[in-house]
Amino acid sequence: MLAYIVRRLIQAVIVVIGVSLIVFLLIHLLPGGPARAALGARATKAEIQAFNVANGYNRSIPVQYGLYVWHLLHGNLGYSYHYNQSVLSLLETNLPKSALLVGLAYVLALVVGVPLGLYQAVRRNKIGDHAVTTVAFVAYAMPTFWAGMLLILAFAITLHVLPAEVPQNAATVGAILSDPRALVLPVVTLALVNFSIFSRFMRSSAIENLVQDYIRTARAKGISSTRVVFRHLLPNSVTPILTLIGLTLPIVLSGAIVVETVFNYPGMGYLLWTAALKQDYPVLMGFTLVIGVATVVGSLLADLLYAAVDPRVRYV
Amino acid sequence: MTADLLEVTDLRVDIPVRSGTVHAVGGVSFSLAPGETLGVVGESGSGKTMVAMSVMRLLPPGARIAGGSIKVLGTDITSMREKDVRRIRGRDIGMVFQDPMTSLNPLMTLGSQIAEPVRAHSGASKAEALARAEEVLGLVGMPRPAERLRNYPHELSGGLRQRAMIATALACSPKLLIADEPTTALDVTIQDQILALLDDLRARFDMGLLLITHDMGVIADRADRVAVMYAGQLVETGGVETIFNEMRHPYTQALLESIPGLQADRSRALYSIPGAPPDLTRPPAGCRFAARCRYAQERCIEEEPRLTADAGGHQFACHFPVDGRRAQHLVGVEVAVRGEARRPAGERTVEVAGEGTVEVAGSPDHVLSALGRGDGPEPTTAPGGRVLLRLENVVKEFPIRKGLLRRTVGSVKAVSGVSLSVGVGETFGLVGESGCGKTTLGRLMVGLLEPDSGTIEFDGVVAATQGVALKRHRKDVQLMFQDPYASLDPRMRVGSILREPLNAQKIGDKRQRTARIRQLLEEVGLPGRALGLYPHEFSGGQRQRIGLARALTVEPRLVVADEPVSALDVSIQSQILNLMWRLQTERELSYVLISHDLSVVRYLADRVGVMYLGKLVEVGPVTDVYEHSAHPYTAGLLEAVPIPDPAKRGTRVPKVRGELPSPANPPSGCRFRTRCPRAEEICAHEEPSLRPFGHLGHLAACHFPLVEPLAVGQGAGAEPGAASTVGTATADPSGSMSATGAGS
Amino acid sequence: MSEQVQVSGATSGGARAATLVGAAPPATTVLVGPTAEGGEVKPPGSSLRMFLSVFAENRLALVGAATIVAMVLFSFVGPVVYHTDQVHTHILTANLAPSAQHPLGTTNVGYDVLGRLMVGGQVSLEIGLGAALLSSLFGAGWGAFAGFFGKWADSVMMRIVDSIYAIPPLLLMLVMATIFSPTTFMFIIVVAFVSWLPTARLVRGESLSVRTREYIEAARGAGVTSVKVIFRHVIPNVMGTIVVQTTLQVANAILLLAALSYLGLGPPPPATSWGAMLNNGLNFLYDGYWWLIYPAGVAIVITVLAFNFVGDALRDAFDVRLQRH
Repeated sequence: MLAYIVRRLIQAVIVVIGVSLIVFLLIHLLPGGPARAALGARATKAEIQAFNVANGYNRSIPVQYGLYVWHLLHGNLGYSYHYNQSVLSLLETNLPKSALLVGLAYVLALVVGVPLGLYQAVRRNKIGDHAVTTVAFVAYAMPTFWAGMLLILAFAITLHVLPAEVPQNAATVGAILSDPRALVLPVVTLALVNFSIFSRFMRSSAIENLVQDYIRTARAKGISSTRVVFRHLLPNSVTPILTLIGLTLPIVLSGAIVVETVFNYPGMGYLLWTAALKQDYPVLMGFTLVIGVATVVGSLLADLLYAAVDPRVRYV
Repeated sequence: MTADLLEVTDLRVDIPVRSGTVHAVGGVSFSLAPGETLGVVGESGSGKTMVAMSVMRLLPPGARIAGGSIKVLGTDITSMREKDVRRIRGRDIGMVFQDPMTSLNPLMTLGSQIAEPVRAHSGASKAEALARAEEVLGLVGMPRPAERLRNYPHELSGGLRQRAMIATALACSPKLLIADEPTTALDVTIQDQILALLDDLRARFDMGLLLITHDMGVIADRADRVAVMYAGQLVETGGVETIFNEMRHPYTQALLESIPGLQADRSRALYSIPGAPPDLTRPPAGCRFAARCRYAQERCIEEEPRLTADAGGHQFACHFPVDGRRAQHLVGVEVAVRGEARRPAGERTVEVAGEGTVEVAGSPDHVLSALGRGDGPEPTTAPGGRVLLRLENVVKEFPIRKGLLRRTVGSVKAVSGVSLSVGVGETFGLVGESGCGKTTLGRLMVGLLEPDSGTIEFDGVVAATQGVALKRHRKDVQLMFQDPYASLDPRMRVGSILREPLNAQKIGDKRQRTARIRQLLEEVGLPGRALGLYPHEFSGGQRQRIGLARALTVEPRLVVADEPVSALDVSIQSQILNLMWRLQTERELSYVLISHDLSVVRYLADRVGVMYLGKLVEVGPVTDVYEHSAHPYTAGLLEAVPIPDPAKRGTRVPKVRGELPSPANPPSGCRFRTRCPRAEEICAHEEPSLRPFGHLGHLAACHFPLVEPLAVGQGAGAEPGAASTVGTATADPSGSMSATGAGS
Repeated sequence: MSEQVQVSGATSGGARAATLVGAAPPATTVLVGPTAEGGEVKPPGSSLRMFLSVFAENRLALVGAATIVAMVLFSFVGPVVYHTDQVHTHILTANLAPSAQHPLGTTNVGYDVLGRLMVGGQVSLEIGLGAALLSSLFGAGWGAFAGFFGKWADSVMMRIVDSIYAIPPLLLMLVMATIFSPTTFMFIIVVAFVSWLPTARLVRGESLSVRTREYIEAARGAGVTSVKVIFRHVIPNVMGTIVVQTTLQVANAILLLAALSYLGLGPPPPATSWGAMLNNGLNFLYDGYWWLIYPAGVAIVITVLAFNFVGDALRDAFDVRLQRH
C-alpha cells in the first residue's frame, strides 16, 4: 500500500513537471515570447528587449526553464498589468469561489447520477431505464452554456423563482453563500454533464457486476434483493467511480469556465475568460499552471481513495 | 424410493435469444432423497446448470421456467412468490459454485459473507451470526477459523476459498446442497480434498447432495445415483453401478468410451462421438442424440423416445437401447485404424483379445507399442532412439518487482534446473498442478521465452534465441494452445490464420501455400469452406482443429501442445486426441504434451515427466511411472484422480495434503516435503537428485522413494547401448543423475 | 444416404468415420456428417451480415445515421437551394421574428437565421470531422506505439498524455486560440490537440491487452516479425475501438468548438458557427428573441446526439461480431 502511494505520488510529480513544461512551451509560443506575456500586448519593442535581458530570457532554453521554475517555487506566478495585481493574489480571491462551484456540482452529479445509474441497471430495459438514458444522452449532448441559457430563461426570466446571477461584487465565498439560491442554477448547469457521465458509468458498471458470480452467490443465500443491491452490487460498482472523479476534473473545469461566464460568476473561469479576451497572458498562463496542478492532485486523491476502499489494491 | 427432499417433474426452461428461443431444458424429471447424492452429468450446453439454477429459482436474466414443477420439501417453488422462495434459498438449499475466485464478494470479509445468510434467515444478532460463521468454517476444515473471519477472499488460496464458499452454503444447515462443478477450477489434489469434504458433510448432516459435473470420474466416485443429460433432456438415470456397467442409452455408453481414464487401453483409438450437440433453438423432432448416434435408425429421427423405467428404477430414453458397456464389435476395427495410421512399411497380423485375428498395418514395433506398450523392453525409447529436443539444466525465473523503485525483491522460480529429452516421433507428457512450471517449460521449448541458464538443444544444435536461427527453430517447433477462443485472431479468416506461418517462413509461392493449407484443413477434418470463415463461427472443437492445423502448416518436427484438450467437452476431447495421434503417425511428429489431466497424458504419451514447483521430480516411460511410481508426489497425484468406475470407489487413499507453496519461496531441500507423507529430517536439508528406478530411463528425485531404486552403477552404464537411447539415465562427471539420455 | 459411406474416402478422417460406421451392424442409416469429421460449419458471409443486422436493429443508430446525412445535406447543399446573404449586415431587417420570408427570423444585424444555421453548420461539421479524424489518427498511433513497445517509451509517452490531459481542454483551447491566427485549419489543430488524449489512452490499453493474447504468441511462435504482428493483429483488433472513438470524438469536437465560439474565440465574423450564434443570442436572452436561442442549440444537440447514437451502435455491433456464438 505504501509503495503504491509513493509510486503514485512520484508519477504525479512527473506529471506536474510535464504540466509546467507545457505552460512554459506555450509562453514561448506566444507572439513576442515571455516578454509579451508579462508586459501585455501594448509593450514596445524596447520594453520587451529590456525585459528579456533583465529576466534572463536571452539565455538558453533550459536555463530559462530553470528560472521559470525558480520563480514558481517562490510563489511568483507573474503580475497582471491589467488588474494591477499579482497573479497569486488574484488566485487567492478567485480560487475558493470556483472550488465551491465545482465541489457542489460534483456532489450534485454524484448524488443524482449514482443512484439513478444503479436504478437503471436493476430495472434494465424498463421504461424508467429508457427515460433516464434519454435524459443523460440529451444532457451530455447539450452545450453547457446553452443549458445554462435555457435554465435562466425558464427559472429566472419566465418563472422568476431563481436569480440568474450571483450577487455581483461578491468578493468572497461568504458573500456568495449569503444568497444560496443564486448558486442553484450555476451548480445544476455545471453538474449536468457529469450527471450523465456518472449515471451512464454507474449503469454499465452495475450491469457488469450484476452478472458476476458473487451476486449469484449472494442471491443464493436468500437475502433480500435490497440487500443484494446495496450490500453487494453498490459497493462493487461504485468504487471505480472514484477514479472517474479524477478523470472528469478537466471536463468539469472546462465547464466551469463556461458556466461562470454565463452566470457572471466571479470565479477563476470568469477571470480566465476576460484574460483571454484581453490577452492578459500572465493570468492565463499562471492559472493554467495552477489548474493543471490542481487536476493532477485531484486525480491523485481519487486514486488513493480508491486504493483505500478496495482491499485488493493494498497488496498490489 | 422416498423423494421427499426434492422432486422435479417435467421441468422446462426457455431462454429467449436473438435468433429465437433456446429450449435449454426440455422436460426433465428426477428426485432426491435425504442423505443421497444425485450426480447430474452432461457436457456443456446439456442444461445441467440450468436445472440446478431452476431449483434455486435463480435462472440468469431472460431465462424462465416454462413448465413443470419443482417440489422442495413437498412445496412447489415454481409458482411461489419471490419473497417466499427467498426464505428457502440459503436456508433449505445451499449452493456451491464452480469458481471460488469469482463467487465470493471481493469487498466483503469472509466473516460477514458467511454470517449473512444466518442473519437473514434466523434473525440472529451480528455476534451470533459471526460465531456460527466461525463454527462452519471449522466444519469445512479451514485452519484457524477465527482469524479467517476478518480475511478478504483474495487473501486465501483457491482451495481455501472453495472451503469458504461451502461454509457459506452450509451456514444455515440446509437440507439440500447443490454443488455446480464444485471442483472444476481446482487442481486434482485439491479437488479430491473438496469432494471428500462434501461427501463427509453430506453424510454427517444427512443432506441431499445434487452434484453437477462433466467429470465421469467424479460421478463414479461420489454419486449414489446418476442422471445423464444430453441437449436439455434426461437421457438416462439410475444407480451409479447401473449407469456405469449396465447403461442402456447409447449416449451414456459413448460418453464413457470417450474418456481415456487411467485404466484405458492405450492401444485403442478412443471412441469419439462425431459432430456436435443440436441447436436448441430448433431441437430435432426425434431423439436429440440421433444425429450423433452410431445405432440411430429412421425411427429415431421421426419419433422422440420416452423415458421408460425398468424394475430397478433405471430409466432411459431410447428406441434401440444398448446392452451395457458392450460395444466390442468395434474394437478390432479401431485397432486397425489406429494401426493403419502409423503406416510405415510392412503388415502384420495381431491377435486381439477375443476378437480373432485382425489385420494391422504397421511395422512390428509400432504394432507392439499399439498393443500394450510397456511390456516389451523397447517401447520407452523413440524408434531409433534419436534425440530431437534436449534440455540441460534449464532455469527460468520471473523477477518480482516491488516497492518504490520496482527493485527485484525475489523471483518466481518457474523452472529450476530441468533436464530432459524428447525423441524423434515420441510423445513426451508433462504433468503437474497449476503453478508447477510446465507451461513455462513449454514456452522455453518453442523459444517464446529465453532460459536464464542451461541449454536447449534441438536436433543436436543449441537452439537459437535470436535472429534468423531462431526463425528457423520456430519452423521446427510449434506451439498448440489451450484456449481455442483466445488462440485464434478473431479478426482474421481461417485462411489467413493458416497462411500466416507460411508467409512468415517464406515457404512456397502463393499457389503452393493455398494448396497446403487446403490439404491440412482436410487432414484435420474440416471442410474447405472453413477457409473463408472467422474463428467465432466455429465450435470449440473445430477451433482446436484449426489451432492444430496452424501448428502443422510449416511442417514442424515437434509440436508443444499446452493443455490442448482441457477446454473441451469429453466427446470433443477424444476427437482431438485421436486426431493428434493420427497426425503424429502420418508425419513422424514428436509431441510434448503438457496437461494437468493425467489420463490424457497416459493415453497419448510414451514417456512422462512429473513437475513440482519448477523441478522435474520423476520421469520415465508412462507405464512405469504410472504403475510403479517412485516419487510420493506422482503417487499422490495419481491417487487423487477420480476413476470413472464405481467399483474403484473408496479404494483411493488421498496422500497429498494441503496446497502448493508459493513458487516465489519454495521449501528448502526437497520442494515437495511440506506436503509429503514420507518426509523426514533430511528432506529439508538435502535436495534429492534424480536416480534411476529400472532400466528404461525411469528416474525420480526422492530420498524415500516408494519403490527400490537401482543400485549405483547398475544404471545406464550397466546397460550397454542404452546410453544412446532417449530417456535413459546417465551419470555425468559430477556423479549426479540427469534425465537426459543421449548425453554421454 | 448410403453413398456417404466412402471406404476409399479422400481423407483419412473421412475414411475413419466411414469405417466405424460401416462396421457397426445396426447402423443402416449413416448420420455422420457428409463433409468432414470436424462437423458442420456455418455458411460464409454471415459475419458482415451479423454486424449490419445488429447495427440496423438499433433504431436509434439508424435515426442517428439519417440525421448525420440530413445535417450534412442541410449545411452543404442547403445554401444552394436556399440563398441568403450571410456577409453583409442589414440593419433594416434586424431582429425579425420568424415569418414566411425568414422561416427562423433574423439576427440583430439582419442575417437570416436559417441560412446562418447552414453556414454555421458547415464550419461546425468541417472542424468537428476534421478534428476527430486527425485526433484519432494521431491518438491511435501514439497509443498503439506506447502500448506495443511498452517499457520506457510507454512511460514517457503516457506521462506526456497525462500532462496535457491535466489542463482542462477548454482552457488549453482558450490559450491556443489567443496565440494562433483563427483559420479553419488552425481550429482543427486546436480541437484535435485536446481530443487525441482519450483515444491514445484507450488504444494503448487495448494494445497492451491484445499484446498478451495467445494468437499473438502463436504468430510470434511461427516467426512473424513484430512490425507484421502490429499491422496484422494489433491494429485490426483495436480498429473497432478506433472507429467508435472517432465517431464519439466528432460529437465532442462539435461541443468544444461550440464552447470556444461561445466564448468569442471561435471563427471570426463574418464566418460563424452554431456556438457563435448562441453567443450572440445570449445578449437577447431577456428580449424574448427565442429564434436566436433555440435553433442553433437544437442543431448542436441533434448533431451531437446523432454521432453518439451511431458510436454506441457501432460499439455494440463490433462486440457482437466477436461474440463466441
